[in-house]
Amino acid sequence: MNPSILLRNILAMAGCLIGISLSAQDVAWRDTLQAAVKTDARRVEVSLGRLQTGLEGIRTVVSPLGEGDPIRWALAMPGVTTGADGTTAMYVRGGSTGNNLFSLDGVPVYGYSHILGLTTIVPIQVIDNAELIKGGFDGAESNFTAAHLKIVSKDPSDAWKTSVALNNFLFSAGTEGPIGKKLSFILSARISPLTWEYRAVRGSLPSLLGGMDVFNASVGDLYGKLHLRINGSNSFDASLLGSIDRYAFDSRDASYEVMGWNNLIGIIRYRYEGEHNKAEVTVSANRYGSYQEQIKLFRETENRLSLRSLLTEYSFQAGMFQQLWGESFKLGEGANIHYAQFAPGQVHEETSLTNTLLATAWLQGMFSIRNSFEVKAVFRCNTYHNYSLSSAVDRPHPYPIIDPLASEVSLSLKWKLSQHISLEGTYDQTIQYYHTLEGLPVGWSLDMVVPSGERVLPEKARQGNLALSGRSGAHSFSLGGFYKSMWNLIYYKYSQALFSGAMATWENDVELGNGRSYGLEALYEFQQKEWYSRVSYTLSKTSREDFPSFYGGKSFHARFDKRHVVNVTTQWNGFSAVFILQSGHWENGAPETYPMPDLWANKWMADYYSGVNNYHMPTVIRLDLGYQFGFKTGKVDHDINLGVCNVTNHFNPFMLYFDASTESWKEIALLPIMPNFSYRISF
Amino acid sequence: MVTSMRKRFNTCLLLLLLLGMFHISCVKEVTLDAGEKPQIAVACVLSDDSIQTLHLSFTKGASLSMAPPLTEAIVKLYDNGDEIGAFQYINEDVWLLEYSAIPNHHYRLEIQVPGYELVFAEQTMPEPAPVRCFEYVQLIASNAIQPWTGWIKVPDPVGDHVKYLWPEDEASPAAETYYVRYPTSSAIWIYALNYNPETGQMEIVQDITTDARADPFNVLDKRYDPPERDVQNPYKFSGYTRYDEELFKSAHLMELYPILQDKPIYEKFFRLLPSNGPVIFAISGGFEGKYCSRLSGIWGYAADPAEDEGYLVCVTCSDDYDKYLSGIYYHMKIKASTDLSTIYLRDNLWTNIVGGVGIFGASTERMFPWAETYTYIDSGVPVIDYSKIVYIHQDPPSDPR
Repeated sequence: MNPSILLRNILAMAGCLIGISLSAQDVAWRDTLQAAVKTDARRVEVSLGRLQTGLEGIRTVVSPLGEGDPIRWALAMPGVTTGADGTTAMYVRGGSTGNNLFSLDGVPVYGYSHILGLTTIVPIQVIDNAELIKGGFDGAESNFTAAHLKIVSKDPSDAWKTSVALNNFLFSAGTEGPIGKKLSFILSARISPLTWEYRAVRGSLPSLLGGMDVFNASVGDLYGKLHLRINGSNSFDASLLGSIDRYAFDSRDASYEVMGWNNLIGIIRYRYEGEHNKAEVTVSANRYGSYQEQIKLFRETENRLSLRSLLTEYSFQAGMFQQLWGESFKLGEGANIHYAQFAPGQVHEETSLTNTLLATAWLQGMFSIRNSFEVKAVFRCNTYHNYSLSSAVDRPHPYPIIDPLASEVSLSLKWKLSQHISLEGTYDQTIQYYHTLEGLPVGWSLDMVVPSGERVLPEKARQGNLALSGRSGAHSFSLGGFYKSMWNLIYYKYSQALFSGAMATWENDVELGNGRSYGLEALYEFQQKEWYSRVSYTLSKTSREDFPSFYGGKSFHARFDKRHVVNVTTQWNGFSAVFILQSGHWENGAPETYPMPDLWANKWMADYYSGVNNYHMPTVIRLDLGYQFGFKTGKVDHDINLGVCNVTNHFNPFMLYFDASTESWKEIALLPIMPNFSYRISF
Repeated sequence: MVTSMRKRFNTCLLLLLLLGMFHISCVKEVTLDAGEKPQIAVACVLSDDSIQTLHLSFTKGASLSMAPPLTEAIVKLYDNGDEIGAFQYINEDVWLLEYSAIPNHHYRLEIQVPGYELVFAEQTMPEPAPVRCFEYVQLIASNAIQPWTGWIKVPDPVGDHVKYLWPEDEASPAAETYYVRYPTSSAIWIYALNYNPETGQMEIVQDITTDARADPFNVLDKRYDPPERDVQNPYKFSGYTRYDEELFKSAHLMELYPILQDKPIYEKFFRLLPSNGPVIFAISGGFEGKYCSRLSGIWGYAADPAEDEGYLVCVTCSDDYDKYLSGIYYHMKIKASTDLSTIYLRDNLWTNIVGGVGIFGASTERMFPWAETYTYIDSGVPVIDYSKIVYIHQDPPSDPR
């Protein structure tokens, strides 16, 4: 069974249980946010390439889980293109998904997706705010070339709060409170009931499960944070985030598959916030593993494939900011050091280890004049070392230095032209040393992360953006254009295969090439007390070129080169409606055929591929509706969300699937009409 | 409250049923026709035959049942810039031109199709395969030559045909026919044909083996098991002790005794890889050569096979045609593979057609007779012009006359 079909089945199965199970998502935000603040928090703060929202902006996104998450919020922003409809694959300004950085408190999270890409591993109840940064990057933001989805965890409350939550995809429980006068904590745990749900419907609704015979899901996460407030300026945090996604299933077409990924992230952070100075030091350890095993029958031959990848990274990050000359100038400086060990594509017992060291020093200055003019300049200097342990004995120099010294630059400018209109511009030169061999566009964290090496060079990008933004009363808007050039992009030849034995020799199966992207981005928001509307629109063109063995090096569509992307969100008195319209993405078309002679002039039908990504998939259209309401019984708050994703049940295929039994290609849509219902209690 | 719960349950049941109905709609079969303009497909391999054949067609889109017909075209062949003539449309995709290609001449094919830019390709006709054939023969030496061992190399009009002379009381040493290939930068494709008396047709021999360095892409999953008499050959280097030991220990002799046992078997043909120096190699396989090399003229060179006799064919290909053939067999193998990952390959067949796809190649063929095992010559004293004999390893015997 194709794993994407598995996801579709899980969605259907979980949808069936809506209403049978109780559902709740998080601790009560009403306790911490005033109504007025809550309303205003839905508006997206736009400034210098950064789009920021608070918890409310994230939560109100309609999603199959009943509540949104940071990625779903980001997917509705201009300049962002989605992968499979309904999942968390994100493409920003022509970059690949692996070109984005997802971070929690500044620490990269490599396997961030959860529940087969429907949400993220960071529980919403521990999030303080989210920021999507598409340009004008800060000094501390390094090792990516597209966008940074920056998640900041909240500090624990001084008052005790507890919530118990259930929904059709996750059961969760969380509590927070003080331990003494200076110490407080947050603890959150989630576990998925998918296996139990499967067992519940297996007997009565076999048709819902497609070709799935046996299914077992082990999905959960655990987050804990200790916050020590030394005094008004100094604090320590220690947090731990662990997650597991493991799916095993037998299917009736004689295939057996196991896949999954897991994360373990430990963070210790010191913060100082003075009147004019600010400093932060973070030490972290990060372990991300993924694995896939498959036994599949193809043309009566058993194909046995097994692949494991592991990335272990230790990081030290330090930065400080000083305010100089009053409030008009801010100076920042810092350094990041990442020591990582990659074990990508382990097939059975064969392991190829690569150790890398990435060190970045940065300097940042910001100058502003009375809120009418603002400029920011960032300079980063990287040194990157790749130590290929497995082949070191074959090399004259056992520790090759891949990129001894490389610089990055970011510039931002904001000029207030009038009371309501501002002109903004950003320019960035960025470098990325870790690469993702992208597989299915579903946002699953199964793709191998590999380091730059002798054959795979660091990816580089240069982009510029110019925009007008304004705000007048209930209306706000931004309208801008961008142009981006990318170098050393990785194209993985077997991206449609979930994985294959060929991935063990991944260096032989990747091509390096370049890319470019340009387009227009527009964001309009209307906000009143009970009414909120947001329209984001992206008109863009993204191409890839100079890949030697593809299309003769000529230009071709990037896979998610979606010409038009429209997202409309409207909320009124608890009612929500989201309308999404996106041009179809590009897949590899079937070949044309022509007869050619063999040695004896016998004719054989040869295939001719005019190029890659030459088949335009259908337009994606989706309408989601939701309604939120709550009531109180005693000290307990009850919140209920009702919603339906893809109300029109529009067939939005996101990818192609090769059916080995019929040897034909099929389009798959993940999200059929999908009711969601959530119920949460908190006290 | 109970009523409310019941209503909700009913709603859920309805949704459940709806989801069950919608379930099927999540997967749809698709043809993935990119809807692009058809390409012009060309297949023309020049030969020294008197008529040249060209196949011309459009590529077929995935959603079409058949390719659009291509009958309106002007196809011309040029030799070093001089127009030879135009191909004439015959039927379906076949076009013909009366002409015999000449080795080392440089040709250009130009195709004009309405609505398309000029399609063209260039090619040089290769020389015939630089292969020489020689075989083992057993000589009744008592009638002619004084008992001795060795071999003589006899030039002949086609190639150097070597007779191996053995004393009458010794069995001939090997069952294989040997071929010598001289240095060449081009690959050579070799296959064999057997005559099928039931159908009266020549059939391609399925299994063929050699000890030469050949491209492994069509190696079968089995090894050659030679006849017992070859394995037990008393002249095999390792076991030979009875006769002229020093001679048989020489390096040259070792080259003449390649043991084909356990050598890989190729499917239908093998592609000899180019080499820098002369190589000697053996060929065997599923052959049933019932004839032997017959004496022809004074040199004992084998005549062309009769109509009911099989033979070997050596095809010398131009570099482009060689690259194309290698590609097409690779692609055939991929398409028949049971490895699922091959589904995702999108490599095109190599082409030298500018503005289209396909091949404009050139090749020459040479036939070689297949000698029956234990070739026996009993024709009295051969008349040998000793002035033309090249003695390779031993002093010449005295002239019996």
